[in-house]
Amino acid sequence: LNFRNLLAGFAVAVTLAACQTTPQNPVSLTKENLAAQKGRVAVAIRVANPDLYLPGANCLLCIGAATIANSSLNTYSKTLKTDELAAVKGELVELLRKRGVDAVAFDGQIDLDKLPDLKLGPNMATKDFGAVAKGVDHLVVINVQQVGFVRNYAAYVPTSDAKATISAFAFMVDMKSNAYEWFDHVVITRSADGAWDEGGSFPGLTNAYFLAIEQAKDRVKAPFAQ
Amino acid sequence: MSRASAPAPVSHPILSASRKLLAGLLACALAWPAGARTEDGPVVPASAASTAVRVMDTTTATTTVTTVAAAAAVQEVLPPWTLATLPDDTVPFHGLVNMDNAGLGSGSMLYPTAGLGVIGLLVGVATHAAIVGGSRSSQESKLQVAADKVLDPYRASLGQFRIGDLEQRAVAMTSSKAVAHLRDAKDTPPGEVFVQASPAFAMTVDSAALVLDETVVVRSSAGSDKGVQQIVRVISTPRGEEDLRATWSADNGAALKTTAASLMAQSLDIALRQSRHQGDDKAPFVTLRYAFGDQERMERGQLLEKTCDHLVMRTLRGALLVVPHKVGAVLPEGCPAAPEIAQRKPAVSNPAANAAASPTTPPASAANAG
Repeated sequence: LNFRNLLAGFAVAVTLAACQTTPQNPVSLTKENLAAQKGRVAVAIRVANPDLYLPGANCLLCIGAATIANSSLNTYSKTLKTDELAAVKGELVELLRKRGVDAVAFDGQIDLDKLPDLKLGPNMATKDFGAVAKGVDHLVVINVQQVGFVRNYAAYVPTSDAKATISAFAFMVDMKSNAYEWFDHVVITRSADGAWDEGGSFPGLTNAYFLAIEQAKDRVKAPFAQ
Repeated sequence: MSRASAPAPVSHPILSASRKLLAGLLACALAWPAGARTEDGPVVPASAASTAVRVMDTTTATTTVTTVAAAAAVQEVLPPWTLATLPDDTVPFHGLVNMDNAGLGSGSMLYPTAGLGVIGLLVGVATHAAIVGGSRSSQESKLQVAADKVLDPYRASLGQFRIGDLEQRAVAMTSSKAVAHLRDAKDTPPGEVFVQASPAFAMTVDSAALVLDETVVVRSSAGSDKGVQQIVRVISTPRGEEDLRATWSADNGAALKTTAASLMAQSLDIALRQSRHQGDDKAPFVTLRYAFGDQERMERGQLLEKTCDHLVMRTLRGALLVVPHKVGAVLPEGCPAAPEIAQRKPAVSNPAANAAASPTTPPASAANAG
């Protein structure tokens, strides 16, 4: 029996290890990679639809209870605008052009889910951008995976106030080698100044949301403005 | 790094005269409908009627600077007014808490039902909620206690600073040309504008500036039950001295008292002005940056005024926010360039509050960037 348990434990460990992927560490942008003679740079963005995130409300009943408890905030979160966040694409192009780089904006939003996966190892892109970034030497991608509000839960019980949140991966890929020339995981969480649960149009949280957007944009633009 | 602003362009005299004329005309146009609005109705937040529209609008339009209208409004002659005397308690001061990192983490929970089924589950959830609520309340209290430590060096001076003294200084420092008095309601002549204010002060985490939070109610007379309520926050220009503790402490906290009175005077001036001429509700909503001590802060709102010294904006909550320009801001035409001030060493007197005020930047790592 002990030997069976040992085998089962080993099998579980091997399965879980297989699921694990190595986190990508940050990669600093060097001045050499931003030199004007390094070729054409395209800037692309993908912004998720704004939403309310309830981490920790894991079971089905917990999710339902938490969603009902935050129903007005959940509905409001979906009306938030992301135009100012998406505008960072054009602002990055402007910054690059000021440095003398031949920069262009990727038309519309880039759909990363439709791109083929790559498994080239650490500091290498996990998607093949070749099909969508033709005629480009470098591709800057801002992938905003989470935007809106977040409230932590432990099962049925809220453990924090609702806050504004943005989580994004920002990176630049060398289109010849698929290597990351810059990689940053931007996570911004901002609380409302004062009460958050004001109902209606949640002015305190809405303010925090737009400040989080500015903070995220500052973070993404900083390496290109240095 | 230094605090500096771009040199202001030189204005031609003819252009300047034309602008003044335009300012007068604009001020008249703004004053006519707004003045009529504020006379009627009970005490209501000045911007309650337009809150819904304001918050939903997330326009990214370029900021329309209302410097011209604001300048004309500053020169307006107000009728005599009285500031209501408050109980002569100590002036309230506290530290500022940053709640960005407050709250407990997320996690899963297995509830013991003790064989009682649904009732056991409900009891388990209620117990869990009570424990979490207690923990969060305790955490918030600790953050406030840590934030209040920034005022420890000045407790002795602030303990002697009375509301009456503050009000007298503030009334004397108001910039409006109207006659201002400090009186009880019963002593106020009928027909004189009556202002009630409830100030509370805070010091920024880096000790470089003071913050006034105040509710101001402006009534047409002391006996009137009608009036305009404004929530006002005024932030002082950051001090330029290297040794802030010595600056604020000197002469029994003279700088603290003078700055506090100056902020209150500014809040009264602006509340009086805004009660007569509310800003344009259709002004675009923008994210504005300003100096908050030695830090830069932002706020979403409508820009109402832009002077050489400060910005006045209406926040999404409908409150008035009066803030100094951020370092390197482009000042309105004709303003003298802001003085260059050498960068100060970061304050180390309050490490707990500093830690609480740091922005949320978890370590960067990612499993699936694409």
